[in-house]
Order: sequence, then C-alpha cells, then structure tokens
Amino acid sequence: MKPSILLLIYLSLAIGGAAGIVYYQSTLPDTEQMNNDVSQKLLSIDGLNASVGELALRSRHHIDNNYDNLTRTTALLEQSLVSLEQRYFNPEQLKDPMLLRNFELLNKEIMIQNDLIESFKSHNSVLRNSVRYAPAAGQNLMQIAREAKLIEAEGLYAQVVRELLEYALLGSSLSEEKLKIALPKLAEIETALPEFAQIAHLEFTRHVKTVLDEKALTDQYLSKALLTTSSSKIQGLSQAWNQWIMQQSSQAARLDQWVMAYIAFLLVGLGFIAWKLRSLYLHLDHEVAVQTAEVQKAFDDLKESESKLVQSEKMASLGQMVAGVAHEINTPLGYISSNVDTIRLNMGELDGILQSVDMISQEISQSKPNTKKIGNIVKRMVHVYRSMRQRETLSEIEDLLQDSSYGLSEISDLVSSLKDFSRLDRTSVLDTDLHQGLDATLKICSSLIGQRQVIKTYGQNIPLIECMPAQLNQVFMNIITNSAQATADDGVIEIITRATDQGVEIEFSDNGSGMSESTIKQIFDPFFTTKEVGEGTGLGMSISYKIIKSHGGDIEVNSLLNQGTQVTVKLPLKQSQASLSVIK
Amino acid sequence: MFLLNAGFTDRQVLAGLLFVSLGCAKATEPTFITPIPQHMAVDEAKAKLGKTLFFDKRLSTDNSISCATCHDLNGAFGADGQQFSSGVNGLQGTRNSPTVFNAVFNFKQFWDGRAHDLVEQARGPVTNPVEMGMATWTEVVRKLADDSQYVEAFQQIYGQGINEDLIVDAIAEYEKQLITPNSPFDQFLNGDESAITAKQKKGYELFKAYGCVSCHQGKNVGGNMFQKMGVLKDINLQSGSLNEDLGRYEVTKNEWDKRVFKVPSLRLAVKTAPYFHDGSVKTIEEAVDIMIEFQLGRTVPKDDRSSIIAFLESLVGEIPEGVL
Repeated sequence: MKPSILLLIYLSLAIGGAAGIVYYQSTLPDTEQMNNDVSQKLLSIDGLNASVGELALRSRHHIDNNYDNLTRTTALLEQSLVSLEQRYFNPEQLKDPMLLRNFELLNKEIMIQNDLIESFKSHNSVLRNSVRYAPAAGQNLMQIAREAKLIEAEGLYAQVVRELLEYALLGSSLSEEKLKIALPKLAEIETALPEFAQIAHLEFTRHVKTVLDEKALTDQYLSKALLTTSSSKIQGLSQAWNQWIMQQSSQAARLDQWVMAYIAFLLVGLGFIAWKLRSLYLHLDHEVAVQTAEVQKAFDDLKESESKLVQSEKMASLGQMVAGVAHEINTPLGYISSNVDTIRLNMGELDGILQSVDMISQEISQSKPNTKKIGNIVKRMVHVYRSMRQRETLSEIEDLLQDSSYGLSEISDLVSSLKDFSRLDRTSVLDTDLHQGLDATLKICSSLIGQRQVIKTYGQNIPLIECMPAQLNQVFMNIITNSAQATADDGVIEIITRATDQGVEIEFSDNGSGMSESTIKQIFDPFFTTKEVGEGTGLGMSISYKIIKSHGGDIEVNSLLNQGTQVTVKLPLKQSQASLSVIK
Repeated sequence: MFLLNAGFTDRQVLAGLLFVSLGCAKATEPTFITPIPQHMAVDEAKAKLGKTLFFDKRLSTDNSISCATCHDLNGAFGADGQQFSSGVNGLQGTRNSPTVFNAVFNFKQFWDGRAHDLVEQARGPVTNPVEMGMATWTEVVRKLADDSQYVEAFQQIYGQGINEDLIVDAIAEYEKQLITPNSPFDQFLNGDESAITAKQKKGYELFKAYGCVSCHQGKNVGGNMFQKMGVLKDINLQSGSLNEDLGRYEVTKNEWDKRVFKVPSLRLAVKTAPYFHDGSVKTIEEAVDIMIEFQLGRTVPKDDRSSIIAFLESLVGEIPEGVL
C-alpha cells in the first residue's frame, strides 16, 4: 500500500478517535459540580420535608395560627423538586432508569404528602373552629337548661362539653365513644328545650358532630402525611444518586483509559511515521548521491567535450589559418623557385665566360703565352657575352633576384603577421593595439577575403586596450571569416574603430546575405550553425561571445536578411580583477 | 422533626393547647394575620415589559381584550365587577374574575388552584376560547413579533427572541408589583392602635370568634389553603347556585375535592363584589351571611356582621405608586 494512503488512514483514525473521545466526554456529565448541586438540593429537600411535618404539627396544635409558613414550605418543596427535575432528573438528560424511577417515586410521594397536607389544612380549620365554638355554645345551652330547670339536659351538655374537650385535646378514644353515645341523647332533649334555644341546640349538635368527624379526619390526614415514606424516598434517591455518581466516575475513569490508549496509539503512529520518514530520507539521500554523481559525471563529460570542442574549434581555426597562410606563402615561393631555376640556367653561360677567364689567366702565366690561343679564347668570350647582352640575360637575372627578394619579404611579412596573430610568445594580459591585431587577422584571412573589398576606417587616438590579444584576434577572425563567407566574391567588408567613453568600439559590417530574426536570436548558442556540415563547428560565435564577456565587454549583432550584417564589439579600457581571473 | 421529639413533653404540649384553644392568650396574641410587605422585589425591566403586555389587547384574537380588561387595575381593584367576565366575541366564562391584586401572595392561582403560580396562571386566559381566544401561543408570538419594539425589548431584557415563556414571565413579574400594602389593619398589626376604628377592632374580634380566621388567615387573609363549600351546612340548602360548580374536583377527580375551592383573600373583598366562585352573590353582607351559615355553622346578628364588614374594610390597602 502507498505510504500516503497509510497516512490518510492513520489520520482518519486519529481524528476519529479524538472525536469519539470528545463525544464520549460530552455525554458524561460534569459529575463533581452536579454531585454538589444535587446533594445540596436533596439535603434541602430533606430539610423542607422535615419542616413540612413540623409546621403541620404546629398548625395542628395551634402553635401556628396561620398556614403561611406551612404553605410556603410545601410550595418550596414542590419547587425544589420541579427545579431538580428540570435540571437533572428529566429523561432527556438522565438516561438512568433506576435513578429516574427513584426520583419519580419521591416526586409522587411528595405530591401525595402535599395533597394530604392540603386536606389536613382544610379539615384542621373546620375542626379548630368547632372545637373553639362548641364549648362556648355548650356553656350557653347549659345556662339555658339551668334556667329552664332541665337538669338532665344541663348535665348532658356539661358532659358533652367535657368529653368533647377531652377528645379534641387529648384524643381519648373513651371520650370519643362517650360522645358518640351522647349524640342520640342530645337529639332526644331537643324537643324539651325552649323554642328560642332550639337553633342554638342544633348548632351545638352540628359542631359536636363536626368535632367528631373532623378530628378523626384531621388526625387521619395529618398522620398519613407524617407517615408518608417521603423521607425514606429521599434517602433512596440519595443512595441511587451516589451509586450513579460512582458509576459515572468509573465511566470517567474508563474515559481516562481510552484517552491513554488513544495517546499511545498516536505515539505509535507518530513513531511509525518518523521511522518511515527516516528511511525515506535515507533512501532519498542515497538517491540524491547517485543522481549527483551522475550529474557530476555528465557535467564533467560535458566540460570535457566542451573543451574538446573548443579545442577542435581552435584546431579548425588553425587549420583554416594554416591553409590561408600556406596559400599566401605558396605564391611567392612558386615564383622565387622559378626565378632561381631561370637564374641557375643563365649561370651556365656565365660559367663559360668565367672558364675562359681562367684559361686566359693560365696562358698568360705561361712563359711564352700563346697569343693566338688567347685571342681565340677572348673572341669566344666576347661572343658569349654579346650573345648574353643581346638576350638581356644579365638584366633578367637582376630582375629575377629583385623579384625573389620581394617574394621573400612577402613571406617574412606573413610570418610576422602570424606571430602577431597568435601571439604565441605572449600569454599574459597586455595593453594591446587593436589595429595591429585587426591587420594581422586580415592578413591571415587574406586568402579567404580574396577579391572582397576591405574598407578600414580606423579611428584616431584609439587607446591601447588591456586584453589577451590572441583571444581577441580569434574573435576578429571569427567575425571576418563569417563576413567573408556571407558576402559575394566582390562584397565589401568594412571595419570601423572608434574610441568611446568606456573604451573602444569595433564595428564590422558587410553587405552579405544577412540573417533572419530567429537566426540572430540563436547566433551565440553553442553548436548553432547555418553553414554546411563540416564547414563550421557552430562554436565560433559562442566562443567569441564568451571571450568578449570575459573581457567585460559586449558584442551586438544587427542584421537584415539579404542586406548585410553589422557586428559591434565593445571593449573596456581596463579589466576588473574578476575579469582578469576569468580571462586567465 | 416531631414536635414531641423536640423537647416538649406531653404535658407541656397539652397545657399549651388548652391555653390557646380556650382563648386565654392575652399576653401573646396569636398571629392569625400578618401584614403584607411594602413592596415586592422585581426585575424592573421585566416588570415594565410585563406591564405593557398586561395592557396589550393584541394578546387576544380580535384585539379587544387585554389582561387589564377583566383585571381592571384603576376602577375595580383588579377585578371587573361582573359576575362573569366577557371574553372575545362577548363569550362568558363560568367563574368570577378574582382580583389580580395580592394574587402573588396566593399559594395557588385560579379558583380551583390549578395553576401553581402567576407564570402558570398567565398562560391560561390567552388561549382560553372564552377569554382572549388566541388559537395558539405560536400565533401570539407571531403577532407580538410584528412589533419591532417588542422584539427589541425582549432581546434586550431576555437576550432572546419572543416566546411564550418570556411573555408570561414578564407579565407575572409585573403582577408581583400589584399589591396593596399599608392597609389600616396592617398598620394596626404593626402597632398603630389608632389605625382602625373601635368597630373595626370589634369586627376583628368577631372575625376570630366566629371562626372566619380559621381559613382566612395569613398575610393574604386567605389564599393559602383549600376549603369545601358548605363544611357545616350542606351547600345544596343554599338558595343560589353555589352548589353547581364542583371546583377542584374538576382538576383532581378526587371525591373529597368536590366543591372545594381555594379560600380567597379577603384583603380587597369589600371592593371586589360580586362574590364567590360564580359571582352569584352581589353584596358583602350576603356573602358574610352565607359564609357564617354554611362554613361556620352559625348565624350572625346584623350588628356583628356590620362590625365584621367594617373590619374587612380596614384590610383595604394602598396601591403602590408607579405600578399603574
């Protein structure tokens, strides 16, 4: 599998893992804060619940004479439960059915308890009213009975009041029984009462009945309310809550484990990636080294072949030069050789004359010179001389010698130019007269130039230029050769030199075939040539460009197709230190 | 928790009970009724918004009824003087509009106590077909949201857009301010003996003696418990219609809750005729008679009744400045 796919899978797992942990954590409540809050609320509910009981008892026993406190407390209790439910114990937030059930049980219990308290309040009020009123009404009736001499009735009222108080205040069941027995008796005495007292009697009876009924009901509701298991339900909820919190903590601990596992996974993954990267880099280093070596080799090869090419260009130039020079030397050599031959022929006749002189000298030195013999010798000698004079042999010899002498001076000139051109004797940077170099180059190229007209417009006061003359001559020869090759046999090549602010400018122009735009663009590219295969290396102008640039100069080419070409070489007077090192 | 466990002996408790029940307590006058506070702490901004809502008829379907229509704060002491209030399209309810004043002190709201508090209460009438008649709260919210001032106010005060909960919360916040402190009787309770007349003082004694105070107690003189209509005399014997409404039974379906109602506050009783859950009783005299007869199993002479009514008049407090 590709490393990138592996990395992608790893990243997906890392992100997925992080998301999972974050999600899991988000599902976990902030247990500590929650626990504090819920515990506190449960505690307060427990307290309120206890207060409800206490306050109900206070009302029952008339320590409290209004229900405000009791009512406020039951309301608070309900509110606490509602807020607890909204905040924590609603099925949307809390997924624990056990806990929810416990809360529901408590809630229900509190509701039942509060309903019982409400009923208690209602009945307690009624009871209280009757317990309060009945004794007074009874005493009133006792008075009436006494006045009406109804002793039995008076006694009954007194008994009922006593039993009623005992029952109401002490809750004695004996009194309750007695009251229940007395009630029918009360109904019996009603008719014996004076008419005006009958309503009071009925009211009294009703209140006694009310006390009997309401006390039972009031106490029943109160004891039921007090005996509700709300307190244990609160404890149940507390326990369930603690259990749940512990469970949550263990879940949190589990989360911690997951986080550790996740971190371990990340570390392993990172280690793997690091290892992978390291081996990748090692491999890359190796690859790079191999590539570098290859490039170095290619570069070296290229350099070598470049220097070979430069060398071959030099050799080609040299060959060309040698060819030109040979031709130049050949011509005077030819006629000098023929002159010498002619002179050697004429020297035979001169030799005859000189032999005759020798014979005359021998005859004269004889004791008796043979005059006739001498005369014959002189006659033959004069004849030869006259014949020679007649044929102008002697002046011809003179002419031939003069001619030969000229030829030899020509050769000498050429050799001198060759020396000037190559400057083989001088390899250092010198202050050079460019005209000398140009002339020498023209001389060497004279065979190539042939009949083409060369117009030299050399400027006045052209300063000496600091340069390597041999290199510049090579440039000049390249340009002149190109011009000669580009022009017709009767073409014109013009060379203008002029001094500029920066140095010297040399302008070579011809009326040759010129170049197209695209050719001009490529003219300095190595191996670019428009010549026939074998005629040029394609390096001439490239090398020229290099030479001029290394001299801190510039070379420009302007050309119009079929109109001619103008090459301008600009050279500075002095070389910079950097250029000097490059040139050398 | 238990009183008996809290340091009291049986004998001490019995002595205390006797002491109180026989009405011998002179030095320590039992506190049946307590004064209401001078003012209620509210969130002013919410209360101000709630006030605007309280008077806004756009809370009703035909823009004819606001809370203040049936709870007239200016002329009728937070009620409307009608037996049954007229809702949208002239429809009438079946119970008398209680006063909104001092409602904050009631332990539950509505005659049958079906709402726990003012907030819960405020949800009711808006979508009640015979009251304000809005189809849904969504519609109410949409209607109010047309008013850019509301949108801005809710956003500013609650930091969120208009919704049902916020509307009723604001209204309830305003209603908390609607109290009537400084009544002569409260001043009397606070120690100013001269705040009430001798007749009113006598009326108070009678109020206790007849047992009215058994139920009408606490700071609201009622409003903190339920009671059955006709505990000492069958309400069916009443000549009017008081027996018809089953009251809390309609909410709980508990047999014992038949004809059980919230005991109303008497603080503004003399100002908020007609009386009882169905508004069938027109005068305070008649109401006092019925109460003493059916709830207390007594009859009341005219003199006593008139003193009691005089006492009830001393319960009428002042409407705090700046709430209307």
